[in-house]
Amino acid sequence: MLAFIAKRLAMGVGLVLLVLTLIFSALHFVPGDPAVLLLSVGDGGAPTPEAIEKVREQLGLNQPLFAQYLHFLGGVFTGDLGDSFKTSQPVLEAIGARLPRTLLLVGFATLLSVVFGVALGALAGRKGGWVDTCVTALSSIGVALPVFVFGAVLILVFSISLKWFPAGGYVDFAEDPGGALWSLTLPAISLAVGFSAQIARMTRSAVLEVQGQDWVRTAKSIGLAPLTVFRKHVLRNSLTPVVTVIGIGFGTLLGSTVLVERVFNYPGMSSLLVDGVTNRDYPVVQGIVIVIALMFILINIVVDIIYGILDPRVRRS
Amino acid sequence: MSFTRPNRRNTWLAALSLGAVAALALTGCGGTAAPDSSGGDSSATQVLTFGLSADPAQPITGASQGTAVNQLLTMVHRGLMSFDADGAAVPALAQSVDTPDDTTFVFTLHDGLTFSDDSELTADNVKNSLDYYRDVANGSQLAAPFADIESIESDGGSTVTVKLSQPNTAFLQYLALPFAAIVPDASLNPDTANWVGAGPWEMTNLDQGIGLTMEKNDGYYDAENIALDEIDVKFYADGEARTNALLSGDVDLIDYVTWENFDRVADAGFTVDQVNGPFQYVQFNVEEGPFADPKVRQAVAYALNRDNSVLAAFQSNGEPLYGVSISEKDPAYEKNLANLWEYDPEKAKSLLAEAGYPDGFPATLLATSQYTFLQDNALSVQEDLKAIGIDVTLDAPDWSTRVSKGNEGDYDIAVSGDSGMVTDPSYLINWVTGDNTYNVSWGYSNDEIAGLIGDGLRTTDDAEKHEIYQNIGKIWAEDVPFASLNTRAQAYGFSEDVTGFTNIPGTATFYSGYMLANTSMQ
Repeated sequence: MLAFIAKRLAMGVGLVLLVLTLIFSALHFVPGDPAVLLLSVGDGGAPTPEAIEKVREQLGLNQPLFAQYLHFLGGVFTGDLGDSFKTSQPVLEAIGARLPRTLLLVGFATLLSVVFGVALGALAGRKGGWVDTCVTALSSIGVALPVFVFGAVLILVFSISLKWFPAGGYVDFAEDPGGALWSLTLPAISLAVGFSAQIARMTRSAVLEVQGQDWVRTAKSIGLAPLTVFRKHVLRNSLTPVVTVIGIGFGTLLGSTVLVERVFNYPGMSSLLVDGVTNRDYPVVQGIVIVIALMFILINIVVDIIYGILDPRVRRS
Repeated sequence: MSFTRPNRRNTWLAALSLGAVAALALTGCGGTAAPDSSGGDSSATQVLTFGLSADPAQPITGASQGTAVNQLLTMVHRGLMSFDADGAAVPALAQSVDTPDDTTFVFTLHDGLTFSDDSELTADNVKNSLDYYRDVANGSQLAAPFADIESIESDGGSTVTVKLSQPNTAFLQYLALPFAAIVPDASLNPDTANWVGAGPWEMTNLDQGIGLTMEKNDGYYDAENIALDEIDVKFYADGEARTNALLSGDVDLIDYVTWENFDRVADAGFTVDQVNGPFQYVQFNVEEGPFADPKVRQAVAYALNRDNSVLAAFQSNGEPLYGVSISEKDPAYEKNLANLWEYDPEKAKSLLAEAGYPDGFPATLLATSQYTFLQDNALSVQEDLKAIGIDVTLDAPDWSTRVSKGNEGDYDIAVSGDSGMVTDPSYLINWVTGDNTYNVSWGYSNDEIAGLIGDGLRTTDDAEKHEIYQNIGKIWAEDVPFASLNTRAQAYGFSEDVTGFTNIPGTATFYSGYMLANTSMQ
């Protein structure tokens, strides 16, 4: 077992190295000089060569590429992801501030998706008829609706016309949890709409499938109340595939935050990554990609190990 | 086994559902209990919430880092000069400016000046700041405009005397730039964030990606006339999000209203304060190929349907520009300078034929997809050039790649937008010196124009300056260092609670942050 874990960990370290090298090369071979960008934003006169050289020197960009690479690797393995070119803020600090915000948004959206998705899907599967038609139609629209369009409509209606919610921005959860969730409601709903539609569809088909099973018929035949049968025997057994969908969907949600964070001006990690790429802010982009890669690799290792514990055959292969 | 697993999941889901309900209830409470920000203690403290168009970079002393940083610098800094509501350079930290002769400027400072860190601001600080800015080695953007400075002398008290090697009629304008402010000696390096100044407010709380707080600097020389106790700056990089923030009441004032939102903001009862500022143009790669021939460049200048570009890119919130953009207040101004060419596709075709391209030729047009107005202008240019036989392929990468390709001359023609650092027409020098930067014609230089611009800057005789620019216009029309397209409107949007704020006209619009000193909340 130990050998198995060691092997998986070694593979993980190898993968991290590969990701680090890939991201470093990709960034440095894409056109665009961070020093020039730092000194020219959209309009205004072009920076002087002296000014550019000064900034390049300050950022360490005048070093040979291989030296920069070694410096970067050295930094990563000593826990130093460098400072943002643009803001001088340490990258770890920036990620430390942004990651929890994105996770909060995604967590809230997942909650809404699960609650509404399961409820609507169960209702559609149980009731059938026009309820089913409505839910199916709604979920088709929900899946097809682009996040930024739905977000814009929500802002138009609930922020600008009704003035119930702020049009965007950020409230610190630690300082004002109610206010934070309040300002997160619209972004979370726009993020959740597609996901809950997916969950609703999955729940509906699972419910329909389970309803036809023998044990449901048996439960009905012994005279249990229909609602009890549904709750105890249908819904419960329908949720296993739904949980799988939720697991997969969580990753997709993380990706969708790029648009939602932009529309709602939410200062999460996705917007930091987009700005980092736009500004060729190498340390920021590298840092975020490393963190995401580490998260995925770690999750995979943990899953592998758990599989290994559960099923001895995996260990042998 | 198959029963226990769903059971556990179900409990977990039930817990989640409960959590969601609780969260919704909580947010409901939060919403109803939230205080109304429009009421309250406005008489006690004046707070302006400003939606800024970018998440700004950390300011570097002496560097020009774009609009967003400039806006913030106008709040925390003051130079010897500043701009007034009409865009004229007026004394700021200098109480008075004497010019005993054309090359000598004697600045007398206000009494008791301090920086926001409460340290004293002396004449020596002024000298040190200006010396730093004029040194090319420091990479300052001001080194070229300050090249005429011969000596700076401080009396150690309140007087600074600057001597120029030759007259420079734009000198005082450059001193008014937000990045030409007087700063503590400790800020005179590229590593120290340039936040400490002698401006009306001081930056007290920077939250990367979210916003920052400006609190009134009681040590400011004119503090009693500053109404705003606090400016709460929030960053909104996306134009739509920024507009929504204004319309929903999240912020009181925004900069850079996007053109498609002008009507929307005005219709909702907000002020859209717009002025025509920066200009858009077509630049050429003159090193090789057809555009090395001035006749082909002229053909392009005659082929452009500028009305169409204004409509396409700015929804008519701009003006067609048929020549060079010069402020109407400048002695150099004459209507014909803005009308060097006209829209005449037939003439364009015959110029192409004269240059040896009767059937046209293919070319690449560099623009960027990141700033849609540049891409829309490029699309309009592409249509116009196709009409005269130039088969244009559009290359519209992100801004960073656009800059990189521009700096390497990797294009035949490109569409750009720019403005002068100051309103003096000598800003045109950037396009004729042969410096191969991303927004000037690759490989183009014209010593004759450069010489004339220098003459224009030196002469203190308005009639002479006017005459010089007439000559520049003639050469420009023939040689076409760039073919202009249009000027665009730059607008601030604000609610009726904001009074006293005005958008400074022309390209000085980017320094309108100075007007926050006149602003108050109702």
